[in-house]
Amino acid sequence: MDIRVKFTKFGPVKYVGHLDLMRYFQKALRRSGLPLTFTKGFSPHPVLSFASPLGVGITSEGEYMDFSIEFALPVDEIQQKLSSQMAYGVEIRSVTERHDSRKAMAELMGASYLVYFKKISDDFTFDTSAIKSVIDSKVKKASSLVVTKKTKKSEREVDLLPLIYDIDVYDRFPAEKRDHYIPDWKDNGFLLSENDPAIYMKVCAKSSDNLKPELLMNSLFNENDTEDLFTIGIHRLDMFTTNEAGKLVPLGEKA
Amino acid sequence: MRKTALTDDILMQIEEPGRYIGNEINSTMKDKSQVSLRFAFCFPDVYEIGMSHLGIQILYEMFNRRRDVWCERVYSPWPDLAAIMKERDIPLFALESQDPIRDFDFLGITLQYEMCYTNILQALDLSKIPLHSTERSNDDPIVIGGGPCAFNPEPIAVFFDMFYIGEGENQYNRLFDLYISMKKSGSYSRKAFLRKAAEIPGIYVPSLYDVTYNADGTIQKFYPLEEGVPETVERQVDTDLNGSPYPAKPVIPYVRATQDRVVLEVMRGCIRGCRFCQAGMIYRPCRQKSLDILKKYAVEMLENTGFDEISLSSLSTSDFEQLPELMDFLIDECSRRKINITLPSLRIDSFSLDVMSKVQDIKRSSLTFAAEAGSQRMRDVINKGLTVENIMNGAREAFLGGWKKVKFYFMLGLPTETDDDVKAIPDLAEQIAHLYYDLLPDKKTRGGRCQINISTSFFVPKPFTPFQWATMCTPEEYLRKASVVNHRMKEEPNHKSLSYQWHDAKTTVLEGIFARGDRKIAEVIEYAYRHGCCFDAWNEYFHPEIWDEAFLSCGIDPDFYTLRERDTSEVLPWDFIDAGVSRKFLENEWDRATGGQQITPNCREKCSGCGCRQYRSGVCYGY
Repeated sequence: MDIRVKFTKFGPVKYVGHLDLMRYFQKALRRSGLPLTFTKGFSPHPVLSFASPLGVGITSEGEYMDFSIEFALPVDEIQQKLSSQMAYGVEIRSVTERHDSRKAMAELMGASYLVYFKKISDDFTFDTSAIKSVIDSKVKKASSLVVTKKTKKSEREVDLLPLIYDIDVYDRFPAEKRDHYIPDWKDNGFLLSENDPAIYMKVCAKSSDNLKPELLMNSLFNENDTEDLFTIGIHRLDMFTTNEAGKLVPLGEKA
Repeated sequence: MRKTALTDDILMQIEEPGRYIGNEINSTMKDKSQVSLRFAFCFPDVYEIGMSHLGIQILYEMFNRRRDVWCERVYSPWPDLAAIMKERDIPLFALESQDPIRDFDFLGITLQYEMCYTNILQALDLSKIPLHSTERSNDDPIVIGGGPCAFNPEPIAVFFDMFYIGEGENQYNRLFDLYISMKKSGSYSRKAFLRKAAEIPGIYVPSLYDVTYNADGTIQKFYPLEEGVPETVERQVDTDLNGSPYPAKPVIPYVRATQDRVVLEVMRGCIRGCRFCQAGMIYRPCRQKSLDILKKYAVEMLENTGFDEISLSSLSTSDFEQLPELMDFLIDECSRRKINITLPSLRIDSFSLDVMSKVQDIKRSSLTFAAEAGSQRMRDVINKGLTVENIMNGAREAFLGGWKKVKFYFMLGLPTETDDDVKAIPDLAEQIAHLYYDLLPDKKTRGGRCQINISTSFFVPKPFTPFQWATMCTPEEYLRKASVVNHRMKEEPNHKSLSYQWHDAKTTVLEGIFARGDRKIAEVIEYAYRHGCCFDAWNEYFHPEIWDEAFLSCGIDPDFYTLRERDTSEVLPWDFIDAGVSRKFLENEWDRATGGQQITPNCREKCSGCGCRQYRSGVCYGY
């Protein structure tokens, strides 16, 4: 039975890097007592793959992981067994049986995020209309948004515009999300109260063209001009694949 | 919701933030308002090292079984974070509650190696606990040390309120009961508590003792300051290992720890009696755990952790008498569960090779011979019951079985060592390489060269060993010995199959000073810490020039501690501890080593009357 799990990552575990999170889940799967399918070879480990690594410090309510078990079990039972092994901050949101043989990583087309702000200097004012006008002029009414992408080997010019599926300014970060996923926002100086703006974005997440919110934000608000004014916080909402009609649907629903 | 002591901007700018967030699976959370005593257990090194230590895990389990005690963990912040904490005045905190250490009742520090001493001062400093015991108030935690280095606590004595000598299983409950009852009755003061604690067996309260010195700097007298404070402190021995707490649900780190696996302690102590080995003396008598208990713990720990590897732990696992039965069980259980078994360095013989071939990939794994010395004469001096025939036979079987990589561990600078003994090290490696090409002459079928790795460390004499009186060498002499090995190796016919690594000489000398130092050394350690030394066990942070300056500035001659053969009549700084092995036995062993190079049989062959029979357990009583 091929399984897809949707889970969250917030609180202290947001500082756990991707490789460590993989090891965390390998151990959790073993502890769960589920009849896991293992890799072959001299040191077998559970067959396990993740849709997309989440950067350290980013919270999420839409992470996906695929694994397999040797024989079919009710999804409720699987969810209960996994949930009993989780640390604070990793909540199992759903467990679905996977019928598509492709792994989440291969299916992944898009991801949605909420981006919020952290004030560094008092000179920065969080004016929703100013942010709106930047997004209007640089994205909505623009014909291209070219940035230089630096990799280890080369630099290349990339137009980000085709990678942005949707972007909008929120008057504020949804309070129920804030209180659940970023409960320590005040201690950490994130601006998430009533009148603070946040940006919603749905962007391309294909492995070939993964658009990271940090890169988009830096190109919208020139990094060099603003790095002393504010930093950003990122919350991943969900990840998407395309259905038969070519429409983006959450990875968890498609499975 | 779970808080972190460090804010987001700090956690985002340091290496491995996962070291500091707590929240690990199987860590113990309690309501602090419901406990009477909070204990912060510190391993004074980085998280990945500290989390790999079995001793803390055992005591963490034991302490937290008490409803009135909450034991938490704390490790040394890495220099990147330590600098930020200093700059922003952030106090050191425990992982579970993320609360400042200063709020705790006890700060327990395990002393596993001497080179962590500056890290102890860092922990106290960052916790805002005064460095010196005498400067602490009633509100400061009680700072208690334990572990092997507590067998000579004198160089760090002023920084501790008390030391626990021996195995924690025995007296911690009594110590906690005393503390809690004094707190509850209102009779608690730091002074009163320390005075009463000094009467508990195994507890050493340094402030209740004083030392006088002779003109030559040696100790004249070490004595208790008050009546009723014991003259000798007795080492504690757990005589019921099977019944003692064991961490069946060890904490699982997010960050990969050095020991990223289930660790099963099969035996404590060692029957061998190698004369250089402190662990072989201070954990006597050798005590084996029962097969049933070990099977039960192995399964429970695998199920409670999800680790994909298990390792057996002891000082000499080949001497565990039920190893064949245990291995049969583990091989069966682990293949079903898809778990790897890693074997500690076993004595290389047909049994161990058979077991290893079942659990390891022969092509990748290497065999380890802890030969310790190159010549037979030298091995007899150190009482390492290993002959060249043993080594050659083991190697022969291994090569025929498909192994190609061999690691050899040796020590340089052992008592009575000559250059002939030093040269015997590469000669032994050459003999092994030669054996390989003799056994497998056909280039096509043998599948490549053998690789013989020689590794040497410099010998450091430790308290409560027969070599506690021995002299050390100068750093220059150590390096000369290493270069003798290196040159000789390059002249060997099969030198292309040999490689050689040696340790740093400066850290060895410092380790030697701390290992056998007296109370005067504390000033040097404090000076070095104040001038930037910390993480001395880490090459990249070791600053020998600051240490040189520290000795100079404190007017202390390091050679006094290292380059002097002590007379057996000298009062040694650790003489007030009764470690179980008798002075007579140690002196006799020292004579046998240096006089006639006489071998002393192991505890199963013949009792050598070391004094540990008094504990009425283990090998002395046939189990």
